[in-house]
Amino acid sequence: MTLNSIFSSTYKSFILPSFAICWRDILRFLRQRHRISGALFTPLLFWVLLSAGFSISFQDPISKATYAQYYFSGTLALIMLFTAIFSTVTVIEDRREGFLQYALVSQAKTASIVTGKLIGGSILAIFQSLIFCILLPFAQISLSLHNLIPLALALLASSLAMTALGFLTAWQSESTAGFHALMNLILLPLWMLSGALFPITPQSGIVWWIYLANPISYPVAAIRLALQPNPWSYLPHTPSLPLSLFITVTFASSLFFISLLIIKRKKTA
Amino acid sequence: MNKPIIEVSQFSFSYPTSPSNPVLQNLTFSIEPSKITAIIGPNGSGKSTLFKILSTIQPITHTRKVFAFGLDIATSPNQIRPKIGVLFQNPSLDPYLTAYENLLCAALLAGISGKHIKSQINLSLASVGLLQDAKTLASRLSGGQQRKLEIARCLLTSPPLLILDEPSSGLDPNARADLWQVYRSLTENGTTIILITHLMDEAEKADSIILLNHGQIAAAGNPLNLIQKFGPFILTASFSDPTTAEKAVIHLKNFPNSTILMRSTSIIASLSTPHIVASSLHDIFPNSLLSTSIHKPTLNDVFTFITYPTQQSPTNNQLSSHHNEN
Repeated sequence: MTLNSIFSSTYKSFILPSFAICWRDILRFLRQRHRISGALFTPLLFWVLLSAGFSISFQDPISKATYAQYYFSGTLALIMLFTAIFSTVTVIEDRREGFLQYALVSQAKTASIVTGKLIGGSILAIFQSLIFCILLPFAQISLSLHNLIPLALALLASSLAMTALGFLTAWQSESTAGFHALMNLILLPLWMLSGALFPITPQSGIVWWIYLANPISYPVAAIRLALQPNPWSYLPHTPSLPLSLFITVTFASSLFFISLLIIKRKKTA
Repeated sequence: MNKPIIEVSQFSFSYPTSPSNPVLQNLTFSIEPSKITAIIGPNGSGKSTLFKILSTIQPITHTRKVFAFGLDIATSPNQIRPKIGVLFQNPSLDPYLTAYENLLCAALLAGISGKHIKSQINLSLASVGLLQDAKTLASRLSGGQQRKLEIARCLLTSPPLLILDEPSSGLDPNARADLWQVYRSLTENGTTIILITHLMDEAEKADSIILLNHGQIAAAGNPLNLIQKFGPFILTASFSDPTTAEKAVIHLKNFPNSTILMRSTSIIASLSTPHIVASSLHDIFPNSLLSTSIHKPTLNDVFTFITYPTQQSPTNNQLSSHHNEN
């Protein structure tokens, strides 16, 4: 087999199908306006209300940030989580509408379906996060050029992780109602215990250990650090940016391969 | 004679979850090219399983039993798949995409790209008469149009074989007639069509039929030939009570070449002299006979005679079937 034929085969059975799934998911999302508003405005509302409510009583003991500043990274993580959830819920709809069955019997590789979903969901999550970043001045967070690469890496890694998590959860759900139940039962508590809502330190007892074991803590930490004046510097009780990025990417990759295995097993069952 | 597109030889299948319960038993048949073959059968007869196997959705382990295009389905599903267009029973279109976008997505999934993609999509849309609806959202198309769009999607890769599962379900007669025009134009151009259906009037239009019952082939062949076996006439008689119906069955057994089926308080009989029989029923059961009708046999009658449950329940005497070939 020549290199040319390998590339041609990969292009036809992996790259084109991945693009098709990704393009379709973005188009579907944009044509369902309630999904855009649900994924963006709900976290925005939370940020406005909670920041107003805690503005006097809260100061981050670690970074001395206000609640609006502290919760900004948590909101970005929540937007990503919501966008990922809303984009991956299509897995259940696709199964119901038969599209997934069609895709699985096409000549496309199974990995292309998962990849397409992940890239599509991640693009949407990053896009929505960037819209929210317009509010950075209102939180009195100023970014300089050396924040851009860390922020881009943090958003990319986080969006992949959130989308992979959403995809796997959606794949295991029989219905959209079941998916929302899993989301409320697992994904939201994971987000709440990730340091997104409140600072978690070793003095927090068992919550600290949950925080360390929680895979969502690392994307939140990566985003928080990327918004700091010096992203690569040490912040007490917070995993460093390289470690956070590494764990987030490892987590996303693991979920990707688990999804792949589950789909392949289902396909041959 | 052309080589068959599909060849099945003494094939049995059971799902891994219930290996002792075979869904398909000892099937042997072939599908001729450029023809429409209808696979019919009652619920649970194995139609859907056969559809899944032929369309490579359901993997099989028995080699050298099922061949498509000369390739073993058990070992070469990936080579066979590009040659098959599959239409699922449940619609699989994306309602948020237009007709054109749905086909574009399918084309990309099939690995089609380049400058010909647009013309290929338009050609597929035109072949089912949907070119003017290219920019319409799939959700806004009628049921018949959605089915046509799914067929257009199957045609994107110009597969020599189409396997259609209940393509007409939920469609009105006009939409069904339109679909048949599409099928005929496709077979004229060399496409082979396998149609899984429970609509007898639709199956009657096919070039050949495979009737499955309890996972076995109960009848196969040209629909007209099958119908002629149950002729020349069908008599249907309704009675006021099952006891009289049973007596009528005993009476009908006296007539030669009759096939009789009892269904609750009515009987259906295949007869050569139906008017004489109907008149005798009026004479013998003047008060209990509610109505009689005589018609030429249809595929529906063939289906009923072959697949109607023949077991007689010990507590319920309503079902019985008799065949008398004196």
